[in-house]
Amino acid sequence: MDPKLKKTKDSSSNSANSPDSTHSSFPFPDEVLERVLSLLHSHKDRSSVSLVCKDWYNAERWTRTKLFIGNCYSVSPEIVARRFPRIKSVTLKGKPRFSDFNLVPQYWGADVHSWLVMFAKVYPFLEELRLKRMTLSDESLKFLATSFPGFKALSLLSCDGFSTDGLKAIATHCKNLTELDIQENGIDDFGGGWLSSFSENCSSLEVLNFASLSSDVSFDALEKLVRRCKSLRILKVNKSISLDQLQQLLVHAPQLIELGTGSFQQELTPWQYEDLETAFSNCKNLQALSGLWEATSLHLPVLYAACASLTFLNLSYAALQSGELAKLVAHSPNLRRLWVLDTVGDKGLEAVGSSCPLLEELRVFPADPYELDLHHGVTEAGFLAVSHGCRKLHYVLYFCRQMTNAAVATIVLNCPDFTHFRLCIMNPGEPDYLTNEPMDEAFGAVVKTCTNLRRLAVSGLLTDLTFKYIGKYAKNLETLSVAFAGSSDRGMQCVLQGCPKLRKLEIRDSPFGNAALLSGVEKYETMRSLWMSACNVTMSACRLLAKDMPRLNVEVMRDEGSDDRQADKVYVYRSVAGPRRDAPPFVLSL
Amino acid sequence: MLMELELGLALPNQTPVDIKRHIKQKRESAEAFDNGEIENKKLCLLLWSGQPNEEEDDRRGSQRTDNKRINEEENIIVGWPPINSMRKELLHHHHQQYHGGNWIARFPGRDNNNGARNRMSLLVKVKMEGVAIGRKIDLRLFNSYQALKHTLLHMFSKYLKIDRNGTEYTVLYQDKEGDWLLAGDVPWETFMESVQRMEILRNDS
Repeated sequence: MDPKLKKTKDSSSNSANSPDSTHSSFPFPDEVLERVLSLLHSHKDRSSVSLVCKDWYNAERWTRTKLFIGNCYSVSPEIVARRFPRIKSVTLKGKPRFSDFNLVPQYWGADVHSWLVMFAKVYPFLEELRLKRMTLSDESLKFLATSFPGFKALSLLSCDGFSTDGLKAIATHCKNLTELDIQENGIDDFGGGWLSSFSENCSSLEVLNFASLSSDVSFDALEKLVRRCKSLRILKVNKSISLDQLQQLLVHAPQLIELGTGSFQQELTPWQYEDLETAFSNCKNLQALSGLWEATSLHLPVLYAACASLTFLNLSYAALQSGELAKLVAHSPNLRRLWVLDTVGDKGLEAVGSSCPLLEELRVFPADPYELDLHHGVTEAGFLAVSHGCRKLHYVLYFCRQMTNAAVATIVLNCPDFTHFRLCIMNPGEPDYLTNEPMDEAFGAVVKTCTNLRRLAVSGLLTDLTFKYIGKYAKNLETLSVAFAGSSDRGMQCVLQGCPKLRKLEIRDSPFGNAALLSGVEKYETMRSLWMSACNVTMSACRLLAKDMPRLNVEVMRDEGSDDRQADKVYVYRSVAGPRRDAPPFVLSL
Repeated sequence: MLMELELGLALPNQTPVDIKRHIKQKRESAEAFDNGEIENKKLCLLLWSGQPNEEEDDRRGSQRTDNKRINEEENIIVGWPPINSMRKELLHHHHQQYHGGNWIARFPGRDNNNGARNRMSLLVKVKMEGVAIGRKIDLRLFNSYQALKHTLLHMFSKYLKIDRNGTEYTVLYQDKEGDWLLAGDVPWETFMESVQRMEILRNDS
C-alpha cells in the first residue's frame, strides 16, 4: 500500500468530515487503524466496525479484501465498486432458496455478468469467486477466465446457465488455478473434454471437484493432472471414474484430505482389491469421504483403514442397508458429520448412536421421497437412537414419514445444543402418528430447550401454536422455513414480532395473508429476505408494502390462470440498489 | 421464433405470463402459427399453476381439513419434499437401474444425453364420468399405461366408490386429430406424442 496515494484518496472522501474529527477522538494515524482492521476477517465484524465512525468506515473499506453479498440484488456492482477498492475474493448469492425446489421459474435473474464486468474494471487482481444460486453463461466464464490474470479459485454451487464449454475456458486460461469446485449445478454437460484443457504446466490445483458432472473425462489427463499437482488436498471425481482408476489416482495423491470417489462398484480381481485397500490405508490424512455411488458391502471394507481419521462421511449417494452402515461407522469413531440415505433405516441409525459419540451433524435423505408406504425409510426411533448416543449433535436434517411430539421432546432433552433443526415429515400436514395431534409441542420443545437455535425448518400438522412458541422462545433464530403449516395470520405475526434475529423467512402453502404480511412492515428491513408462495396474499397488500417501504424490493410472480388479485409468489428483500433493472416480464417489481 | 417457444416449453413450471405475451404478439404479427397443435400443447402448459387442480376448492383454504387428499396428491406437489434437483436426478437413475420396468418416473429429470435442459412436462386434463371436477395430470410422471391407470383411479377414488382393480373402467384419450381412442392400443411413446386429454368411463354405461 502506498501511503501517499492513500492519503490523497482519503482527503477527498473525507471532505464531508469536520477537520477535527480525525484527531480528537482517535489519536492513531490511519495506518495503524488499518493495520489493526486488516486482521479482521468476519464480514459481520467488519460491518459493525464500519458503523463506528467515518474514520473507521474508511479504514475498513480500504482494508476489506473479501466481499460477501448474501443477496446479489441488495446492492449494485457500482455501489460496491465505489465503496471497496481492494477486493480479492467475492462470494455472491442470488436466487431465493426455494429455487432449489423448482419454485422459481428459469430466467428469473441473478446473472453474474454485470458483476464480472465491474470486477474486471475495478478489481483486476481478483483471485476468488464463489457463487451460489447464480446464473452464468459460458460467455461469462470465458470473460472471467480471460479478465483476471491472477485468478485462483472458482466455486459454483447450485448455479445454472453454463456448460462444460465454460469450464473448458477456465481450465485453459487460468494458469494459476488452485480451486475448481463445481457442485450441484444446472449445467449442460457436453462431455468431459474440459478436463483435458488444463495445460501440462498446471500444477497449482489444490481443490478439484467435478463430482456432479456426468460425462466421462479422459482418465489419462486426470491422472497426469493429479500427479503433477502435489498440493492437491481435495479431489472429488465423478461417476465415470472406476474403482481401479481411483486406486491409481490415490497412489499419486496419498496426501488428500478430502476424497470423493467415483463409482464404487466394479468386478475386481483379488489383486486389484488388495491394491485398493492399500491405497486407502495409505491416505493417512483423509478427513472427508464422499461419492461412493452404487457402493455395496462387497467393496466397502476397502475403506475401513481410512475410516479411523474420518470426520465427515457423506453416504447420501450410496443406498446402504443398516448392516453395511453399522460396519462402516464401527470403524469411524471420530465422525463429526454424517450424511446418509434413509435406506439405512432406524437400525442403521442405532449403530450410529453407538459408534459415533463425537457426532455433531446428521443428515438423513429420502431414497424414495414419493413413496407413501410407511415401511420405508426412518422413523422417530432412528432419530431418538442417535440423540441417545450422540449428545453433541447440533445440526440435523431429517426426512421421515412419521414423528411424534414425545420423541422430539426427548431428542432435544438429550441434545439441547441444536443450532440447526430441520425436520421434514414428508406427508404435508401429517399429525403425531400416535396421538393424532398436531406437532406443535414438538417444535415448542425445540425452541424452548435449544436456546442457541439459529435455523429451523418445520413440518407436519401445525397450528398457530407452533409459531407462538417460535416467537416467544426462539430468540436466536435467523432462518425459518415453513410449508403447509399454521392456521391464521396470527402465526406469522408471532414470528415477525418475536424473533429479533430473524434474517430469512421462507413460507409456502400456508394460510398467511395480508395482515400477516403487513405486520412485518418494519421488520423486513432488518432481514435479508422474505419469501411467501401459495399463501393468501393479494396484490393490493404487496403494493401497499412497496409504497410504504421504498428501501424494500417487493416482487411478485403470478401463476398463470390464477386470480389477478392474488400474489402467488412474493419475494421481499431489502436493497440499497432500488428495484431490479433486469427483471424478466413475469417478475412484477412493485 | 420456434426456438423461443421451445425454451418456454422446456420449463414445467415456469410462470408463463411471458410465453402468453409472446403468443399474443405472434398472433398480431404477420407470421401466423401454421401448426395449431403446437399452440394447443402450449396452452396445456400455460394452465400449469403449481397447484394441480384449479377447478377444485381453493387448496389453501382446505389444507388442514383433508390430509388424505394431500397425501394422494403428494406425487404432484411442486418442489415437495424439498430435495434439490441433483439429488432427485440421482434417485431417478438409481431407480431406473434397480427397479426398472414399472417404476414411476415421478419428476422431470435432466436429459444429459442430448444436452437438453429439462424434459417438458405433459399436462392433460382428465375427466371421470360421474365426477363434476376434472383433474390435470403430468403424463411425464409415468412410463406405462398400468401405472397411469392405477394413479388415475386412485386420484378419483375419493369422489366415487371406485373398484381399485379398475376392471370396471375404460380409459380413453383424445388424440391430435380430435379422435377418441382406447388408451393402451398404441405403444406408450406414440400415446405420449398424441394425447390431448383423457376421460374415464364406467364399463356399464
